[in-house]
Amino acid sequence: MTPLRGRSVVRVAGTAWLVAVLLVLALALGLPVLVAVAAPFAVALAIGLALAATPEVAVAVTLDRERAVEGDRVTAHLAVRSPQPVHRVELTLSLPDAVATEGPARAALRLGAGGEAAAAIELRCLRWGAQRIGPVEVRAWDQMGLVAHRGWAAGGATLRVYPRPPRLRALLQPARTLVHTGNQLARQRGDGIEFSDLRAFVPGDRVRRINWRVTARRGAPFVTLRHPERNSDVILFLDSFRDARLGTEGTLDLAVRALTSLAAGHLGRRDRVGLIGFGGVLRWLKPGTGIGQLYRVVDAVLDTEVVLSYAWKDLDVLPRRMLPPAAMVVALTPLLDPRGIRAMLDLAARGYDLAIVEVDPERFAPAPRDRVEQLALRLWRLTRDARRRELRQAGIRVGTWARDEPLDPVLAGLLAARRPRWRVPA
Amino acid sequence: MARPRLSLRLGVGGLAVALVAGTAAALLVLGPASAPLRALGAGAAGTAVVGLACSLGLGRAEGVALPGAIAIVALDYALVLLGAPRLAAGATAAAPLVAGALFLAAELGWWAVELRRQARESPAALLRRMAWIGTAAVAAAALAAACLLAGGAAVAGGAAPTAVGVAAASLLLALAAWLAARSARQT
Repeated sequence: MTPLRGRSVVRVAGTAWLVAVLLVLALALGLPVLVAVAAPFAVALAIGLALAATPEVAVAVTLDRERAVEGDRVTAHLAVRSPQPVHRVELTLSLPDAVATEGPARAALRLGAGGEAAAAIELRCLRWGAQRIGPVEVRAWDQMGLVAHRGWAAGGATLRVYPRPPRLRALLQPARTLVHTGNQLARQRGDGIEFSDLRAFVPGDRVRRINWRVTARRGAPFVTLRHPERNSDVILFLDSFRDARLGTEGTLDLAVRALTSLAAGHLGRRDRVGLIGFGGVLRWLKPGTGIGQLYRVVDAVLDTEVVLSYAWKDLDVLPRRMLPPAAMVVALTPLLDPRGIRAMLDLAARGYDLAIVEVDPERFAPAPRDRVEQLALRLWRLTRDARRRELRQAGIRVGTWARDEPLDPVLAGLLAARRPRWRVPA
Repeated sequence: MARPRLSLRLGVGGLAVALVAGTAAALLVLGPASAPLRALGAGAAGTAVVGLACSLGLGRAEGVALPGAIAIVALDYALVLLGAPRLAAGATAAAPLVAGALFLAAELGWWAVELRRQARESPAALLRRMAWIGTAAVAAAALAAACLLAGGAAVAGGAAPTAVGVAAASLLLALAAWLAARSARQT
């Protein structure tokens, strides 16, 4: 039961005042008719005060589903019960900024003796994250509606809102593949579909690999070599040290959406996908495959938020198995914090195949208002250009995801920026 | 569950204001013969109606003007009874109607105050509330009629009954003051 403490007795005081004035007027003017006018108010007040008791109300909040995608609608059900009749009970649902309602987030009900009632409030999910729905503020009027009591019902429900990822047409190709079957064309030769080369038959070659046309033309047996299809390790690196934000959207929101798209795309290609959330709070998820891993990745990023921290962090704090040697690392970062940039340079120095998707924070910067601000913006741009140049000089591919652009051209640019390193092992 | 509607609050509040204004206008039409009393009554009623309309119309008001408006209309009723003795018998007989109308106006006014916090109102609760208000208004008129009948009985007056009345009124005033002070402390 929710303890209701605060009380409003405005109506009691007002009615008592009215009755008193009418009775005094009746006495002063010698008009008993005014007593007749005052009588209904006095009787209602007396009955109300006699029956007045603090209502005991129990409220439960449930959601029609616990998981939703950005833009979805979810219905919150408020169930209220009370052993006493309640003239009117108002339930106000506390909502985070990322969840909105059509109309007020408040429902008014009337309860009979020992009665139960329910209300439904439709919610609209605006932003990804683990959103807390509740608690509920309760305002209950007693049986005659004279005194209003206030309190907070403990509890609530958690709604996990997943980002709605943009669909990607192409993904980054890793430099190295693993030994398991996947959709990536491996550099090695083996059993596969894609043609690689021809060579003379040697003992031990399978007869089915003999290329009969070339054999007939050359007069000696030749075999066809092919590239096998393999999977790869992809580590998604989310830099959450800083967030450039304007209104309800920021670089972290975009980065999380892009990360979800990349995770879904690579897992659909049978790659093993892992996650490193590098920021004030460190998170990691070891590489895995399948749809279950997609849910694990998305669940892991849902709680991501920018946590202010001055602690210097580097890659040594990560478990070794988080960074498999042949992994491709895709970093999503606004390039705002030197700790994140330092970690990326460290990754490149360790020989990882690293690609950076820079979520451009300039789109969230307010427009300059005077010459000083224009100059500051120009300096900031120059600093950012210098950072990009430093990363490129370290052999890192950097693609800037600018305002209102889809992610596909950025990935295409990163794919084209790879140095040609196709060396077929002998 | 119905969508919250501003029109519901405006409708209920408007009905309360209309009832107060209608009752005051009817009393003024019947009203006292002397021009100063009539002007005083009209001015008071106008102030009450405007104050009540503003109080119910404003989103943050607690409905504090409601008892004042009802009291002013009751005062107009007293002016009719005092200022037009030839109409006194008819006006006295109309007391149950006046009491019922004022009680109905007060109930509607308090309902409008509750509705100022926009919420999704349950249609069943709305219907039950309307039925309750209607029944209460009829009961109020009946109670006023019963009071009139009791007041018409031949009972000897004197200092003692007057003193009891004064004491009762003073007690009520003290109760109102105490409750108002408690309300200010607790909210």
